[in-house]
Amino acid sequence: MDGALLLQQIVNGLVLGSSYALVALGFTLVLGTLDLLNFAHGETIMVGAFAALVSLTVLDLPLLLTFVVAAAIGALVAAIVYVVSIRFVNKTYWAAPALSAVGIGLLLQTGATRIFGTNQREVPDPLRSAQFSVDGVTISVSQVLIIAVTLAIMFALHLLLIRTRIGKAIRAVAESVTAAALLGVNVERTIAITLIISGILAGIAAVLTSFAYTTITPFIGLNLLLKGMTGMIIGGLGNVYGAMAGGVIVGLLETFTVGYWSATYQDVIVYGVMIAVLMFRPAGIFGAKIRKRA
Amino acid sequence: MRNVSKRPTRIEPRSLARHWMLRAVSLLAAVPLLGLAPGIAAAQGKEIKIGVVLSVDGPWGSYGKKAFRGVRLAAEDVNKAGGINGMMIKLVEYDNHANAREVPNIIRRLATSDNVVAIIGPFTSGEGEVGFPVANQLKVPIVAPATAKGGIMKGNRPWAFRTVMPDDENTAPTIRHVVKQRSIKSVVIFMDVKDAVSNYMGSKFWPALFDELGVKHETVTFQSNAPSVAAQVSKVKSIAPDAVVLASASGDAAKVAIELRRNGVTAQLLGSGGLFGEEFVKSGGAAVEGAITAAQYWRENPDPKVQALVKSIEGRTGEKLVLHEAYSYDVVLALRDAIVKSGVTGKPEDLDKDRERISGALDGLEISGASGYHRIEPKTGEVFRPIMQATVKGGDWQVEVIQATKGN
Repeated sequence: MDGALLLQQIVNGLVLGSSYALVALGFTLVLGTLDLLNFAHGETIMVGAFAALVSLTVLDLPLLLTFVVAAAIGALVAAIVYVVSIRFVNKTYWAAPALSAVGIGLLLQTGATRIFGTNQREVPDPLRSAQFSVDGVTISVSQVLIIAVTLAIMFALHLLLIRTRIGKAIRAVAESVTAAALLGVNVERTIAITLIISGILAGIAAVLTSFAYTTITPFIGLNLLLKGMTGMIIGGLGNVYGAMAGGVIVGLLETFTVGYWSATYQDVIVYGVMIAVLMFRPAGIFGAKIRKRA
Repeated sequence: MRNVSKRPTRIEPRSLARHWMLRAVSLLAAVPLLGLAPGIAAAQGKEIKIGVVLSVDGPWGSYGKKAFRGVRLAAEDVNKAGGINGMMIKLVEYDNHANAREVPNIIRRLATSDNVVAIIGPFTSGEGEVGFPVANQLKVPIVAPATAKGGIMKGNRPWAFRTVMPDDENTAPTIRHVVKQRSIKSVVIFMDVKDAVSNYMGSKFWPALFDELGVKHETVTFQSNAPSVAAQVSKVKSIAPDAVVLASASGDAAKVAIELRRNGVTAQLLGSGGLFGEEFVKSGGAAVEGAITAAQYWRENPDPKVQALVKSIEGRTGEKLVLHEAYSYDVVLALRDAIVKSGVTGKPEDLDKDRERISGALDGLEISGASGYHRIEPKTGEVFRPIMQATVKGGDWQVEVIQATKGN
């Protein structure tokens, strides 16, 4: 086996896995803390990716501002999801907000196809030319950035949930909506803030995944969501570190399957591992135990 | 890609909100979209109904949009010229929303409820594979303008036809020429395993062709709409071939080309006729410069009839006439000629006979339309078009005729 190619594929897998981990982090934040399935999360990332594309190619914004714009757009879409799919939807029927979010996702995808068309759009990567080689392995600065930002976001999210007032409120709502409300937590505001944080994560993920994927289309959202969810299930439902690890595992599995075998089997391998995890460790590799929400 | 037609039809709603509302209500169901061009809707008197099943959604949506427009423009032109034997074309349009499973239902509805004399579509080979058998069973002529997968007409005769040459027949002469000219010794076939045409081309056609030519070949695979192809590109880089064959739909091929170039792979890019179109060049940008494919359409064809039609269509749309729009335009002309030639009456009581007449007349029909000369072969339902080589130069396709007529 070619050693340099093997190392290159590990880098490719880590970058791809990081992009899935970013999706899983946003999704798991909402699921783990609020027990809500936000199926519009993938499309939120897609919208953020197009915001990044417009920022870089039409508005000619610098990279940092592109992150700000994409994060703001992600937060805005998440706020809309909150208002349309959660705030005024009867939550006693658990599937209602989830199905409503699916509807929003479809609307976002259709809107994007009407505005941007269905063609692949190349996303210019301002950092792509900055790259270095180690033992025949080429690594670009943007690849390092993707991995580093994903790790940073994971730690930031952990700190937010453990150390901040809003984090405590989110955890309180996660434990029991009724108890949190009795203790003076503004439940609706907490849910809205959680959604908006996941939207900001989606925006940041959008910029980074655009660089990782080279091109984007209005159809990337569903694929990303599925892979992110798979990572989340493998890593551990509702667990920030589990989501990160699960995303990376999915990325590595896919990369090695297509790199050394065939793309025909990539879904068989990834979803096969997911089914095995669900059978033998239902809470995920890094999950603690399945808890029942009060 | 925006449709700038000055005469929008109801399939391209005037506002996004209206379309979203429609989507939300229909929830992916195929919706009859009453796609009558205003000029046609206003037509009075005897009508002849032609069904259309295409899609403006999904990965092929931008092509589907152009195909719909080509059909409408042709119907408009035929009606303006007095219709067919005094009958005005009435299009009954359905959008299957890129869902192949909807195609059989739509064809059934067109044949048994809308009572059309013939059907135009569907768009993709996957849709053709499930749609053609239904049309054949219901004995209604169906003419597809874009289903390029080899062998899919077999078993669906005598009612199924197509006006695009199968990718394999069209591509082989061009690639033989290029391999010889450029002394290509090794290739990597970059194959999409999910797309029906690409899978057939990548696993059957290309390996057989390169075996015949004595060219060393390896295959790497990916799935259409895969977010990343970095792993496959790293593998290609380690192989360092003379050429890379892009066996996928044009959007995905453009993505692969960009990733190859970004990673310093400078191999010659090759493709089948399926890549020849504006999306590949538009999406691929500088990365696809120099790419060579087979071609079945030549907008700059010096034939005065072609140029007159190109000018007329582009004058109304404000956009360059592309393959799928020209092919779809010509399918209407083919049906017009078949209807005239076979003496279709258009009477409800003659519907079955009319369908039989059209099917019979399409066999061996020669058409000179916006896409140039082509001939529907007798008995097979296949088409012959001149074989051409296309190269991306300066961000556009440059076309060169390799074989003008069959047997050359």
